[in-house]
Amino acid sequence: MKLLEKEGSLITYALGSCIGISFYDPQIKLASLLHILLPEAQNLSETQVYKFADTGIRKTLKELQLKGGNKRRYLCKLAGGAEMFKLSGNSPVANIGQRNLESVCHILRQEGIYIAAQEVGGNIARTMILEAETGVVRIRTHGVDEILI
Amino acid sequence: MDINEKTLDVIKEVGSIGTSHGATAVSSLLQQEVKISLPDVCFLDFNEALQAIGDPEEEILCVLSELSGDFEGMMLFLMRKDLINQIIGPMLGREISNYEELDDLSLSALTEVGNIVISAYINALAGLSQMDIGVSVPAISREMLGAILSVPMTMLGYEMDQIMMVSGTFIIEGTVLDSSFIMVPDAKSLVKLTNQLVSSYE
Repeated sequence: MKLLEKEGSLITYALGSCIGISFYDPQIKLASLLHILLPEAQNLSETQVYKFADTGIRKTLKELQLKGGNKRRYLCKLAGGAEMFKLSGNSPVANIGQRNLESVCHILRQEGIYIAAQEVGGNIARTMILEAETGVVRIRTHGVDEILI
Repeated sequence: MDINEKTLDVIKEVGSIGTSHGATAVSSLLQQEVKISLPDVCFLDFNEALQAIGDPEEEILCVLSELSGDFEGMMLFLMRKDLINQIIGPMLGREISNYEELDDLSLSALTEVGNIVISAYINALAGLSQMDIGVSVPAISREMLGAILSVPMTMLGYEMDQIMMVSGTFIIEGTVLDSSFIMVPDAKSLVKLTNQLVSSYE
């Protein structure tokens, strides 16, 4: 998870089944970008909280609050949740992108955060860039022009 | 993870035997001299793994099989353009300058080559360690390197923060090709493998 205020940009590369979650508070230009790998932490002593959607989002929201962020103002955008390989249904990582996405949406709903925009699913990898000045998110993929959301 | 030098040597040796089987398989398929460099074994966290292998946004072709049975994990065979052309050239008389040009026939030929290399490697590993290892039907993807490497990271995400990579480089007819294969075992299987092998070497 990375945090930035006022200017500059945050980047997370090559999201496949992982999900990039950006939070932006436009009033104070507070930006954060979280990159989660899995839908939920399985035990509470997990040290790498940012690896999981549930613990990662909650910890990020706490950090934002410490920096003066206000949950009601957050613009939240998502990218990723794709399927890189067609794996058989009994594989532990089959549909992991979809499961990540469901978990992220569920937790955001619980936290009362509305998703302003998203570029998710399919079978493409995405690089996500968040501009701290404007809150604009740029999505880079192979073979298509950059998308602004 | 606690791995001593002797264990590392054994893994390297097994990797080397596995890869030489893989090289022989590709060699007889292409009717060319194929060698694979002595494999490197390293333990890396996710970000380091990316740096070790290149630019996360680089487009690459990857054949992936899941391993099951006594040994669980994944085997990835990463192919860059030079190796792809070395394969589809003699097989299909085609050459590509970017990955989008790969048609269904080329993709299926490359998947099969990946399958042959992976199976040869795993057969050698299974024979040496006397383990019963299943290899899934291979899946193929051409996408960003980072996104592809996140697949084994996701598989291991709940049990470890590092992945073990056994990787090697192809040399066809004396030309070093920038392609590699990676074996990623889960923690349990790694222990099983080293117990099985280290004890028999002692």
